[in-house]
This record gives sequence, C-alpha cells and structure tokens, in this order.
Amino acid sequence: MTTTVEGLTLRRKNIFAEAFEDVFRGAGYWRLWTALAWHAMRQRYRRSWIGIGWLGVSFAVFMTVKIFIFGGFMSSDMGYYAGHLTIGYLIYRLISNAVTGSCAVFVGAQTWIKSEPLPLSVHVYKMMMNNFIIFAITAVPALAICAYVGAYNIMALVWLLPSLALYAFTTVCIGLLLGVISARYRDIMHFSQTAMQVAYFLSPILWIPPETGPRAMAAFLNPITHYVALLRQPMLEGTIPLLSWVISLSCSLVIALLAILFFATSRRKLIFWL
Amino acid sequence: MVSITARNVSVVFPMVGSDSRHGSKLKKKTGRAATSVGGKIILEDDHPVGILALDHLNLNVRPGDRIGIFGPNGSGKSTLLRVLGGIYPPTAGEVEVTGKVSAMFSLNLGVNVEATGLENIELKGLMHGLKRREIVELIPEIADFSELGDYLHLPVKTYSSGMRMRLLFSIASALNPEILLLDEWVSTGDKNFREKVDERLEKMLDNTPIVIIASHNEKRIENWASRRIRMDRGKAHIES
Repeated sequence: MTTTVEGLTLRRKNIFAEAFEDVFRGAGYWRLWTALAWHAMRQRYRRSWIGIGWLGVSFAVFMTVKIFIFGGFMSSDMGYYAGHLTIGYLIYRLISNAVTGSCAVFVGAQTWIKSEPLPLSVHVYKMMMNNFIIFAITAVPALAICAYVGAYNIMALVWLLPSLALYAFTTVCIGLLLGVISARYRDIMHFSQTAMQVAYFLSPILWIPPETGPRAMAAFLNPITHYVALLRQPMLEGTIPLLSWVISLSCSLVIALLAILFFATSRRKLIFWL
Repeated sequence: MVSITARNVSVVFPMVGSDSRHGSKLKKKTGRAATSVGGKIILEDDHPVGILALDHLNLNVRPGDRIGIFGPNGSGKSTLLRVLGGIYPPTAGEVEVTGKVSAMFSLNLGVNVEATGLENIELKGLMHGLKRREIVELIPEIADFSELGDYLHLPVKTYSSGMRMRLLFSIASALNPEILLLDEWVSTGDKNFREKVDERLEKMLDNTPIVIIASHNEKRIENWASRRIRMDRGKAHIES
C-alpha cells in the first residue's frame, strides 16, 4: 500500500537562530571534540612504531626531495626557494585538509550523529582540531628546514596568531558548508580531492610567481595564494601582505555567509542523508 | 518537571538521489503488493519520494511512566524512540523533552569500536557534558555493573555483541538520566545480565522518572510496563 502524506504542517521556527545556536553550543563541547580528534589521530597510527611522528617524517622527506629536484629549476637562490616551498606547502596542506576533510565531516560521524543528540557543529570542530594537530606536527620539520636555510623573520611570530585564527575560522566555515553539501551530493567528496590536487599546481607553492604575465595573474586570482601569503610573506620577507589580508578576509566572509545559509537550511534534513 | 510531549509528530525519511531512482522499478516489480512491514511509502508521480516512518503521533509522558513500545519490524518503534531522544527532528509537529536524556539506540551505533571500553566511557561522558574528573568517578560503577573486567582495556571490536550491550547499558544507566530510552536491548544479554538489568530498572524508579523501551518481545514488556504503545506502520496506538 502506498500513500501520499497530507495535512503535514511544517514547523516554521527560525532556522538561522537554530543554526547559530548549534554552532555556539558546539564550541562549548571543546573537551569532546578535542578528545575525538586525538582518538582519530591515534587510531590512524595505531600499531606503528613512530606513530603520529610519521606525519613529521613524511613531511620532512617529501620536502627534502622536492627542494632537491625543483630547486634546481629555479632562478632564485636555493635558501629562499626552500623557505617558499616549505611554508607554502605547510599552509597548502592545512587548506587542502580543510576542504577534503570537510566532505567527510558528517558522513564520517554517522555513528555519533545517529546516537547522540549533540550539536552537529561538534563534528566540524573535531575536523578543525584534527587539522591543526597535523599542522602543529608538520610545522616542526617545516620550521627546522627554514631555520637550516636561514629563511625566517622573527616578526612573523606576531602574525602567527591572527593568521591561525583566520585559518581556524575559515576551516569551520568550509566544514559546515561542504559538510552538508557532500552529505547530500556524494560526488562533491571525490570532486574536492581532484580540485585540491589541481589547486596544488595552480597555486604558487612549487613555483615562484613572476612579476607580470599569465602566471602572475593566475597566482593573484587564486585565493589560496593570499591565504598562504598571510604567513609566508612575513616569514620570508618581513613584510605584511595587506592586500592578501583584505582578500582573505573577504573570501572567509563569503564562505561564512554561504556556510550559515546552507547549514541552516539543511541542518534538520542532514541525518536523513547519511 | 520531567516530561515528554509530542504533538502531531510525523517523520518522513526522504529518498535522495539514486535511492529514489532505484525505487522507480518498485512499481513495475512489485505492483501494489501489500506489505505489513515498514512505514507507508510516499509516492509522487509514481516515484517513491519518502517513507512515512511516524504518522501523526500524539503522546504525553509523565514522571513515573514506564512505557513499552512494541510492534512488528519496521513499524516505527526505533524511529519513535529516536524522535523522543532528539536524534530525528520531526518533519512536522513538535516534540518537547524536559529532562536529562540517556539512550541506547543500537549496538552498532554510538560506539567507537577501535577504542577501548574505557575510552568509550570517556567519550560518552564528554558527550553528556561531564568533566574528566566526573567521568573517572563513574568508571568503577560501570566496570562493576558490566562485569567486563580486563576487557575494558581492550578495543570494543574484541567484544561479543552481548558484551557490547553490557558496556552500553552500563554507561547509559550510570549517567543518571531522568529519561532513559532503550532499544532492543533484551535480545543479546545472557540470563544473568538480564536479571541484573531488571533489578537496576526497578531501582532506577526514583532517580529516573521516565523509562521507555522498544522491543519485539511483547511478553517481556508486559510484566514491566505501566503503559504500552503498539506501533503499526508508523501509527502509534496507545494502550494505557
């Protein structure tokens, strides 16, 4: 027997107020999402000798090889290129993990979503925490490389906190946005992986953008360039990338608005898409 | 006051993407074959678009209520329990739950099988807003009641389903809930543990004003429940 539902009166509560409440209440569960993030990390490296240290080891090996191979092609001096590539890749990884990790934020947390009435944003904060643990561990070999080649400015420390704050905020927004979209449309997950691989070559990480020409344009139009510059420019050149701050902040604002829009409209439906 | 009020609550499980396309074969293959299991399938232009899992539920639960939900497979027992536990937002209608809820919905959900029993206790505690110190205080009681002993230090994937049930029930009841929701918990416990569960449920009367249990086993619920809800294809028939 089949039937059509009639007489269902839909609830008309303020979905935006509910979404904001979810996001703020979720932040309050910091003990939980930190614990969940550590559990996930430990699980990934369970039964391996070096454990979580693999993150640092693989980063160091990968960087050394890349500097050795690609450094030869570059006209600029080796020390500068090594710093450019290492810091660039460190931040690119943070962005890339935010995008690809976001797609699994809710799909990967099914077991909890279907059993505990927690704010959904908890799972987004967990992903953010996870990414920052990875960032902190890979930053150790990255800074070691920079110190070794002499590519650093102490004044970058001043910009560390505001940059990390913006990265964290943006990661959460991307998580809310891509999390709900990819729960509904599963292709997004695979698409984002491809997109981030392409973005790696399109962003000035392996290459140093020239002053003019199509590659200079490609670098300028790519938001990743500006997010990377927030930390890389003070670190390598000792100057503040004001334009990049303006562009990054605007991008984050747009992502935040989209995030709250998508999250608010799909929050109640999300569990049925998992 | 601890209470649950549901007004005209309906839950529709939407079919998305390919689920809905698969369903287009449904008409050709099965015709209009009647079935007594599952919620009603909602059609739009001969395409299935959703399943009506809960159909206009009205329910008032007051302190002291011991409610047994029974009914055949797919009749909406678990859905009802999850709506009351705040897991499924109602598609229509309103649910108001006042009180601290603790629930055990399924043996396969709400547990990290790679983590140890103790780590799972920690995660569950954090999910219920406890601090680490408060969680540590609960551990002896959970360990004692579940009788899992050294297994608490091993990953949950090494547990049998009965042992997993012991862990989950021990945690859910140790969290001092005001409302306890249990789904299909009887099937896996051995006789010894079932007796302990019964005993604990008796004792919990004072601290836990509302207990709701869903089960296939009507007989088992009969002795225990003060109110019974019979589910039939998403419709709740309340037999007080």
